[in-house]
Amino acid sequence: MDEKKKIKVFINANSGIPIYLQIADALKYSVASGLLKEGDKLLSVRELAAQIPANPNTVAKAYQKLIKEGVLEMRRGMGTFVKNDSVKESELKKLAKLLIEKAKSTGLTGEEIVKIVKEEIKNDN
Amino acid sequence: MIIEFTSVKKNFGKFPALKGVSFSVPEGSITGFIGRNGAGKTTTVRTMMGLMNYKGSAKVKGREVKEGYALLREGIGYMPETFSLYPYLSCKEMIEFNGKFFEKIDYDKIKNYAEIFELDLNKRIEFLSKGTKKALSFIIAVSTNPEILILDEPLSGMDPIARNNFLKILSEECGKNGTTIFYSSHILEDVEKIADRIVLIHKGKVLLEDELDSIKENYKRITVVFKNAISKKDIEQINGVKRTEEDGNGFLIITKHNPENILEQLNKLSPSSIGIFDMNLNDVFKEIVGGEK
Repeated sequence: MDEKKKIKVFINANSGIPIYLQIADALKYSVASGLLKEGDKLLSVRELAAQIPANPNTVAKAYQKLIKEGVLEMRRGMGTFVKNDSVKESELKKLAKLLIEKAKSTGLTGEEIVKIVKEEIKNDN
Repeated sequence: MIIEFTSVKKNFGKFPALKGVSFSVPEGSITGFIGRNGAGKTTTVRTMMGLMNYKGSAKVKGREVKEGYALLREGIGYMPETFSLYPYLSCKEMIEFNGKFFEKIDYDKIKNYAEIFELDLNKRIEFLSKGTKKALSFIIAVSTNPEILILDEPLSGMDPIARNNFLKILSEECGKNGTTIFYSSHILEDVEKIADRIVLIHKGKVLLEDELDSIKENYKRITVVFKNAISKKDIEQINGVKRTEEDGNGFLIITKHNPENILEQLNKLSPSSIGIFDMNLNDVFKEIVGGEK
């Protein structure tokens, strides 16, 4: 039996974002950042739920979501594993989408957004 | 459904405490039963435990609850709002006394949970703090490995660490044994952490019953400013809008269903700016209860 990779999952239960989404995002971040690698075995739903602490049904929902997205896989009788750790790009895309949505909500155009992002990258260097 | 209430009514003299309460609890769920003080939470819980007569139908495990019927014996753990612990007994003696009423008590679990709560079982109950008494009462309720755990305001008086331990144990009980948990509270921050279902009671009526995730996905705050003259009525007629109010030069909209569609409809009215914001359980609670005078 492979050893389970222990990682800490932090969520803000009192935000308006559904907890299963927060757990799924936190796990995806762990994969994107290398805290979890392809083939790593995760804590069981029960163990992670008790650690957070969160409802086991909610943690199961987060695992289901990531299995559907191809990030995790369930191996029968063995547990849940990281299937694919190439989530860096998709994570960034999600952040970019969020940025665009927020910027557009204040009335900025696509070009204006690109200009600001470019400027900020310059400032960062 | 392991618990099912249909039009349950209860009067105290002329005061209608429950005015036709209906809701159901699926097996293996953790249901947060929320409401203000005096909303009818304890009356509902006591009805569920067979401690009260009532009108309508209240079913637990498919059987109609009868007043005076010893539900506690049927795989149901109960932690009342005000505990009946004998102050002159030690925790150990209290646990042993309680154990005489049940066939099986899980003493390993008691030991384990007492350690988690840093509860000295040799201490006399009268010397325990309020929060520690609650912890003892909770440990006694779970010590029979119940199928259903009914908790009435379990967290009041517990400090933040004890509350976190309490939530961990609820998570474990639900995950390991598939225990159904029904827990009343007005401390929404803690309910939000552990419940997957919410039943909101207000003035003797259930105003909201849904999965917590769905509530958070459906209830959103939208602020919008239009270039053209758009009236409040135009917005109110969009399907899923709960409430609209004028806000500065624009509008504040609260959604209760399908916010993506509402956003789409609003975008068709060519807004100069539009933003959508999440609402937590506290926000939703205030929105629903605040509107019901």
